[in-house]
Amino acid sequence: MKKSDFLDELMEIMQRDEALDSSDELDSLGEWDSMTVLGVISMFDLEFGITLTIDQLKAAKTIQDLIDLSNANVSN
Amino acid sequence: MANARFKNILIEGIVTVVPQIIKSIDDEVDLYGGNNKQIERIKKAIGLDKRRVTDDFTTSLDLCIQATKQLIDGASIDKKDIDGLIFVTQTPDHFQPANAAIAHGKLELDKNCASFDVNLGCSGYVYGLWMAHMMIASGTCTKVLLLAGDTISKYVNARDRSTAPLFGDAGSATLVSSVESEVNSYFSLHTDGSGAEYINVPAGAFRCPSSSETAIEVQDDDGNWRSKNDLVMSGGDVFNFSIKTEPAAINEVLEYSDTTLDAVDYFVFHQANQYIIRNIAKRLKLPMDKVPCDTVSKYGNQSSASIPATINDSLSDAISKDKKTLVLSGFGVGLSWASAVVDMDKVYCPEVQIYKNGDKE
Repeated sequence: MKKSDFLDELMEIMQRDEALDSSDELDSLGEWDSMTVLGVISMFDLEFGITLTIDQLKAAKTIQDLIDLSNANVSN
Repeated sequence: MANARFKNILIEGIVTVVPQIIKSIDDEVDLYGGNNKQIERIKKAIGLDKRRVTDDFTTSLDLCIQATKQLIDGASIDKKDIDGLIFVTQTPDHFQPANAAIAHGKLELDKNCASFDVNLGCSGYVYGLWMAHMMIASGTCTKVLLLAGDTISKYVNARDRSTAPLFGDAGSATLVSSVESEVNSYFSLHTDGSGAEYINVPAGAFRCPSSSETAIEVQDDDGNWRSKNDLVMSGGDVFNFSIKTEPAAINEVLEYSDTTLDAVDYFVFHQANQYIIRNIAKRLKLPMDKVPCDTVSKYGNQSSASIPATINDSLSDAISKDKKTLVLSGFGVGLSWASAVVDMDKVYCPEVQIYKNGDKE
């Protein structure tokens, strides 16, 4: 998956209109909440076959950290 | 493999009763720090909106008793013929005696009747159906009354966003009978106790009796308040479990029963929330018109009563008229999950009923 597609999918999960950047801090985004976390878990499972834990997601600080959890499944 | 198949056993009627009080997430904007936008997201994504909850004086037993009375009247059942009674609940009136015995007394059933409680939640309806089938197949019983009801709203802390807006209360009554006609039903049952902590009430029984200490409310990392007497749920873990386990469980029971996806008229899942159900349906590539999922936004997550409530709410017309093949699947607290393939034909199945306070005895 391309990085731009990843960001689009994240916007869709967050139901957010404003664009996202990989350097965005998750805590600065109003939509980074438990619903988004479930959406990200589901996306990783469906798209990459990766099962994320809540702890892994809680440790993530930026969108780039989420991309890093994909084990290089997201490319530039 | 915990699988089972049965012949000549039919579901005659299903009635679900919900309490009168309606709570709406729109009235709880304070719980979300005044964030209306987040409430809109929750409504759209998770499907939470309204829920039906009991007052302080009404219990699962009361709801199930009203449901049974209507079932007996509506399906013209002779009470004397009921020789088995299963009560599935995690919110009984007392630790002792069993809800099933109290219900047996209130309903004035015959003494030749095997009655017991089953302590299961979201998977409990399908487990109860399986047990009812076993009791008939073994020759012990001919008509088994399955009561499934919970009042989980009484277990949640009003300041806990991870549980309070989710749960509603309901009670159901289902009659399972021995019949001459050719009917087949299939069950598949599972447990994973390594996830027992994911949904639990820490205090109040014998491992940790309730005390003034267990009643102290503490705020967690996510800003939610609860005491050890309250239900705690690890939503992310439960979600992961559901989307991993359920698609495989459905495929397993279909394979076991030699049924194709196309041959199934409806898939009735435990109504955890719309997001989970849509996610499971997507993985199984099910058309959403075969997957009713409006229940949770009208009534809340009704635990053991969510499957019968969905049948009464969405399939009342369909299964009253002619034969339909249904897949039923419950999953949750335990962790426990169970799925069934059952034929339903001319079932007495009125729409969801509202509890009448005057009925309490």
